[in-house]
Amino acid sequence: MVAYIIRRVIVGLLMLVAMSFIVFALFMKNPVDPAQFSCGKNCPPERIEETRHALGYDQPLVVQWGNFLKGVAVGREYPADEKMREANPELVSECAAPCLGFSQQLQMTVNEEIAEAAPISISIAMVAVVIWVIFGVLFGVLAAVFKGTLIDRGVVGGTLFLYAFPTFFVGALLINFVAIKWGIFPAPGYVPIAEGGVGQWLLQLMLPGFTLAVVYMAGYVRMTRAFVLESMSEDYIRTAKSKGVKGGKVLFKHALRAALTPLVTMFGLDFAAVLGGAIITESVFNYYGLGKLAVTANNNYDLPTIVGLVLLLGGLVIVANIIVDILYAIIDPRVRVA
Amino acid sequence: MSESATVFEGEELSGGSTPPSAPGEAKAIAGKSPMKLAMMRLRKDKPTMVSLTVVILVVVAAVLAPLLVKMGVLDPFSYNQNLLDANTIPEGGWSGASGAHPLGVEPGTGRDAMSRFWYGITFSLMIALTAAMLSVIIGAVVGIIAGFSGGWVDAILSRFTDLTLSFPSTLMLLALSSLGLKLVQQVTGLPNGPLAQGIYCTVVLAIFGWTSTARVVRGQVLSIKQREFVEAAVVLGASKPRIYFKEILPNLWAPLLVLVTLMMPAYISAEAALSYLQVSVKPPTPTLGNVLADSLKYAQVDPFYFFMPAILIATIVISFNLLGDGLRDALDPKGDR
Repeated sequence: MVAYIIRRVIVGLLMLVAMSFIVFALFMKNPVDPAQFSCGKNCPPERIEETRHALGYDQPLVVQWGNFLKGVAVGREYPADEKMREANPELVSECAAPCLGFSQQLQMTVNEEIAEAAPISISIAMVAVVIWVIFGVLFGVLAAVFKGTLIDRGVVGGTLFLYAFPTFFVGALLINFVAIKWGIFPAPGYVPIAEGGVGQWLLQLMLPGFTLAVVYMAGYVRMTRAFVLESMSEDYIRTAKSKGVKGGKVLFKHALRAALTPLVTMFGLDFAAVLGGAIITESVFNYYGLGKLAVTANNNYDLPTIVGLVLLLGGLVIVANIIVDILYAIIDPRVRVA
Repeated sequence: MSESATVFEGEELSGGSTPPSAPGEAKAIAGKSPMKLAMMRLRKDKPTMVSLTVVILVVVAAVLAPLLVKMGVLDPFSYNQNLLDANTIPEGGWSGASGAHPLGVEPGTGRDAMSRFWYGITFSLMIALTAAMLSVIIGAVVGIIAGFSGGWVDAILSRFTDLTLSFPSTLMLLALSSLGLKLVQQVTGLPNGPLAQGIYCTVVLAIFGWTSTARVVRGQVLSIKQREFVEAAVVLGASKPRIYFKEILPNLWAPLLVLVTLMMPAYISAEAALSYLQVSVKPPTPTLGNVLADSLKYAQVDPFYFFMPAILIATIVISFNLLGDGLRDALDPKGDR
């Protein structure tokens, strides 16, 4: 068991390192010259070279990558060039481990940017998760119990219908009609708990949360339905039924419980993905979470921020994968042998 | 319950108008190819037949659109400012629908809305279909090699698949756009225009979309490679490519067909999302995505123009999804819904 966990963690770490190299290689080959960009439009060529050197973009790719990894492991200081730091101590920015980079344009570390945006993304993700898990599993069980009836078709068809509309349309629909025209919800705008209390915070998250939840709900309904149906046809369910266990108890204590294991896997990965920011939902509602941060950074050619965000999001998914695999090994002893 | 029971009966009795009372009748026992059985199950599945009809209509519409544009029946590009009021909103209800413009005109420009939606189907389907084919080709090759080779080749390819899955794909599609567009222009020598943007969109969707195919194919190949005909081919000294593509691949057409059908709606939605993020084909060339993304700002003043493209996309996406589900059920010999 311990050997399995260690092996799994090592593979995960290797994947993170590989991912960071791919991302670095891809984005540093970007046609937009980061040195020229942070130096400004009317920048003489020698200033560009100076900036490039100061920011460390003149170093070979592998060296830049190594510095980045070092930053993640033990932290580092910006700007990259040591002489530059010694000459202008007022420009030096400390970036503690795990340092994900420094945005020249915003003059702050990527970690600080993430710390500012993450609460919004996490809030939206939590509300969305609660909506989609509760309704997804509930509707899924409902559809399975009433398999083949109108209820089954209505539930499966309804979620499929919602899912068919692009996310940004659902968001725009909710903003324009539910919030602005009909006034059922207040106009979107994030309110931190510290400012408006839990009620206000939650109210402002309902629409984006629902928009994001719609994306995942259809999948959970179908999966829950399929897993419950599958476990309902197992022998132990027949045994339970024939020894006189009540229908509801069979469903929830036996069938749903078995169906939960694959659902937990799905949930772990999806939750990690939404935690890292919902680009479309945050853009439509104009909530400055990690997704919106990524869009802004992309529009401004803010490469360090993008690289940092990609690695954070990818890292989240890889870590979630490891956790899910380990949980699986704990639940299901057969996995460990492989 | 009753539904699946009748389907089952139908299979066994080969359409059975005659009861199986006469065991001597050759007709009742005649073997059916898996293909015929699948077709029979498909014909009995009403939602799938309806969605198949819609899909065929959509595909025909997509093929006809460029011809109709060339003939001048559809005109997605001409401005009709005279049909707009002072705020560039179409005059009259329903986006100013009339005989000449059945679905009205686009706010802001006065371009014919129906032509833009219709022609948009062509570009969206082209992107989605090409991306789906590319994904399936990459996925099938990776899956077959991983599944058949086993050992360290399988380990490396499987980890590579996991790695690709771990990338935040929406963010990558967005962030790679400037680099990707430039690469496309360098490789193909195209100017920065709708074609280059479309190629970027297609390729990048495929690069992050092949993983599901690879996993499914790998799983299937693991069981196929145990079968006698593959072992026979190996013993006879057939080359690897021959085993991969002549022996194994033909057994995979059913899952691959289902995968392509289910990828189409996913890619149509993805193209729309990319349009919203402005990294897909840009106007004036219409795609379903950029027409919808453009309609967002008129949600309040011209709701008809706001809802039409969304409903169109949803109809197409639902039809492909239902068709894919129906095909999977029909092609799965163990299929019981």
